[in-house]
Amino acid sequence: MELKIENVSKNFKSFKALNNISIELNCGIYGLLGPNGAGKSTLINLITDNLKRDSGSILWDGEEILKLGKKYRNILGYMPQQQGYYEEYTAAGFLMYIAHLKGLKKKQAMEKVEEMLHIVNMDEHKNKRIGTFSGGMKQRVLLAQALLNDPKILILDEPTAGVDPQERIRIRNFISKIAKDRIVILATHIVSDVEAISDKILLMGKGEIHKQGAPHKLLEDIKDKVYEINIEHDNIDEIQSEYVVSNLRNSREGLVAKIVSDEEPRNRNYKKTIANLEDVYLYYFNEGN
Amino acid sequence: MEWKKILTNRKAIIGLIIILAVQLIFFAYLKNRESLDDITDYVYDTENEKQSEYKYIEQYHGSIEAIVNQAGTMSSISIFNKQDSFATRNIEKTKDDFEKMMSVYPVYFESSFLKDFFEYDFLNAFVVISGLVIAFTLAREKKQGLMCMTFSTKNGRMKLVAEKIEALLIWDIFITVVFYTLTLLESMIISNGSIFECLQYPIQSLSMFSNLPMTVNIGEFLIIYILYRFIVLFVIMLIALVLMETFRHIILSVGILGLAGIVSYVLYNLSGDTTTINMFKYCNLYYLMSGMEFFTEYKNIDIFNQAINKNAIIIALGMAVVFLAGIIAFIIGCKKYPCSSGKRFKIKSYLFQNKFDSIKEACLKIFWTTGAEYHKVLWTQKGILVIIILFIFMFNQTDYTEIVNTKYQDLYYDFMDKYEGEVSSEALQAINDLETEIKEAEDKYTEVSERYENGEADLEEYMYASMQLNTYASERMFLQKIKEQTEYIEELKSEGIDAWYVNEYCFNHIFMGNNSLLNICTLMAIVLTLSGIFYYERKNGMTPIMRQSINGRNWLFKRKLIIGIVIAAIITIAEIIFEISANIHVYGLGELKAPVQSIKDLSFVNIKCSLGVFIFMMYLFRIIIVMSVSIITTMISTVVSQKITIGIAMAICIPSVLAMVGIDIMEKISVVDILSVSVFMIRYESVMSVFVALILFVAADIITLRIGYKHWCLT
Repeated sequence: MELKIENVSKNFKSFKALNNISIELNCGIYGLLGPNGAGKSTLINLITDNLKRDSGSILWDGEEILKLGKKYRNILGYMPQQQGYYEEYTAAGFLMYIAHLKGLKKKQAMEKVEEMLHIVNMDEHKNKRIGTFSGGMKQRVLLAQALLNDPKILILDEPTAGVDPQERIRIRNFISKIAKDRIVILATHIVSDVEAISDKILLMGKGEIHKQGAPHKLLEDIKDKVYEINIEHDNIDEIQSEYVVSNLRNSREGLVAKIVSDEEPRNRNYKKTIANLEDVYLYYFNEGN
Repeated sequence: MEWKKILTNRKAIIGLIIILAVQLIFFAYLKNRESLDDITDYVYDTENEKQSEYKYIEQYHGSIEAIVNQAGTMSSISIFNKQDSFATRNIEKTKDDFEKMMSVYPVYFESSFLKDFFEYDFLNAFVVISGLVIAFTLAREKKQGLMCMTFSTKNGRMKLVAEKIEALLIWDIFITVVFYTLTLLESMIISNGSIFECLQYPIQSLSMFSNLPMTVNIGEFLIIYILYRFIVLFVIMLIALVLMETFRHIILSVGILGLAGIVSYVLYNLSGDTTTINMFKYCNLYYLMSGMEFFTEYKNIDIFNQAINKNAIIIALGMAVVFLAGIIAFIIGCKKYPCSSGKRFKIKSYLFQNKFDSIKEACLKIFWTTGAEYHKVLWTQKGILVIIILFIFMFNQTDYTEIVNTKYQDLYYDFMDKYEGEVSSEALQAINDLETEIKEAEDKYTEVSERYENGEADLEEYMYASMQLNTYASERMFLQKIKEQTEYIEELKSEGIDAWYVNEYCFNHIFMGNNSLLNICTLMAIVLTLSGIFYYERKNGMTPIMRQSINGRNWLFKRKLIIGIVIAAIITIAEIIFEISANIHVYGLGELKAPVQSIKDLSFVNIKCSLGVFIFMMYLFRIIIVMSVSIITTMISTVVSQKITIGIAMAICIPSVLAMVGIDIMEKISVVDILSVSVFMIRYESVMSVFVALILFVAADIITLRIGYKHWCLT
């Protein structure tokens, strides 16, 4: 089971959205992390064959996905960033409709819909209209539709956007549970989601993959570059202009700024501290770097 | 300021412009149709009308005197003499009201434009629709999620309500003045009249106002009329606003208004006597909205034995409604919390919705995705509503009235009943016999005439001969017609083309009926129903989900295309059924086996087939063309928004609309007329013209199919 993206590029008029990207994906959860405009959605649209690439190839088990056509789409499950649903449909009705589009026979679809609704914990809401659901409930329905055809490739674009922390954790744990024997691509801004469950993280910016690796590996790379320094309230602006500040907190000793820097802070009272993925993100995507 | 909200709301402004344009076009269409339906009848009716108006002017004073005198006479009768009774008071009031009219001297003038303006009842409906657009636009905060914000501000309650009412007033003035003034101007232009010449004439110069006991001139009356319409519209708009503020649900508010309209209509049809209960005949929205009866009907109502003019009651009640509605609006605006759940109402509607949803789910399980697609087009996107309105309009436009034939038409029908078909010797003999009979009568008349001139015959004999000849007037007209038809058939036969006697009245309506308005409405209905078929998926963000699924491209594309074609075909077949049934009911069914060339207007047809086959082909072409239109519409919706698709369709209809209102040159570029296949063919005197049009439609289908397929199915 391998999804290979080779030298893929995509331009929108003069804007280079993707620049010669190459990645190999096998079973596991891949966190696609990057700022707005990094090209995450463009990459996802290319993988789901919703956009035409300018160059390069995308291969599933060695075969070009454009040639595979329906066969490829049969193993794909996609939850887009923009919530797509019919307000007036009930959860069950909507999933039945999508099940048919995914090629399931009626009886199989009914069983699968029941199963998915149970898995995403929407049993008691299955006969209610989607338009009446909260943000988290809508996300769960959309997650369920992505899983109806038991996909080998599951792409989740901002699956936890706009949901409360409890719901986020629930969705995250759920993704971990179903990730076995699948390629799961999780595109998000929410670093903690990616940090918690990803096997591998792809840091993407300005149409390129800057860095990829297991979370612990990425953290390892910047372990000596994260510091905590004590500052005065009046110095906040000065510190923020001089360093990449990932956190500011009040302590008994005063204000403590957590910074990410290649060099040790000069003329400051500092100590090294443990890096997290947010620090990694800032390290690679801060405008100053 | 609330009234400015409308200016920034593009939908509302475009809606108002469209409503105004449609009502002006419709007025022009009605006037144009009157004059085209039957030019002889139109001229005759116009002359008749002028004469009756003139007679009315002459007799006006006499009729007023009669009313006043009758009042005096009735007062002397004991049953009308009871003191403090309604009857006595009614008589006295009527006398007082009309006595002052003795000083009024109506003037005859060319008043058709004014009469048409006042009798154009549809204008009131259009004005009300515009008013409702404004009222509902002003009350949209809940939908936009703004209520919680505005309610918590300093001026977000009572002051906001006051500003909304102010906005209603401002827009009410605008709509009333613009709509009624433009329509009056249009009427002037069409009828070549001038309001400025007659402003000083008494309003009673128009016979429709003979019962109006007001000593005002036309100019003053127009101001009163506009004011009246302004007040009526304000009442309706205020009620709509109060409903929206109360229920915060547009469908429910419209539903309640609709129900009020139905109840009003029922009350309106109460008998017209003067009892108190019949006050409700006059004090309801339908009566106020519908026509001119507020001004043209004089009636006093018995209110506690007092004779009160119905108009005074209406005005008093109207003011009470306005006052009450205003109070309710303020109370709701200040007291109804935007975030309260309205539990009781929600629970009831929830139960209903649940039931409806479970029925819907059961249906979807049976018909599955195809059923879901139909459901989306017809129910979710309100296609079924469009189709129902179209069918109501079709039914309304289809004339089932049995015509009263003239004697000569009766003779023609009798002849055709006996001899329709191949020209037989019996038919020719019957014509000859009639010709002989008429000739004998003519000869007799000539002979008696000569003898009368020579003094050999007396007046009685002469008058008798003359009368005898006159009795053959219809027969002569019939003979002329049937001889023309016979000569035409013989001319064709000499060219080697077969033709039979056919009842032309039966077929003329099928082949030459003016269906422009219906064609435009059918086209727009199809576009409105199908223009969202793909766009709906884009709007709901469903496109990525669909396209990445196995059946979400080719399969779904084909399914949606077929649904569009099926719906369009059903609409057209229903239209054809209406047409044929009306034709058979009114004109009967002619000889379908006759060669198509038997109809003079179809002599150019160079195909050998019967009328029945030709009619079938004609309707088949129509169905094919409509299906073609459905394909084009459906495919365009893969690329552009619903509004643009509808806009394109409206632009295509413009030449037809202009042709309909009398700009004949537009007929040449009117695409919509292809739906009246025979009219199109006859216009160009060529069967090929239809084939050419069909080829162009098919070419358009192929192009749009390619575009649609590329857009939906390919990456």
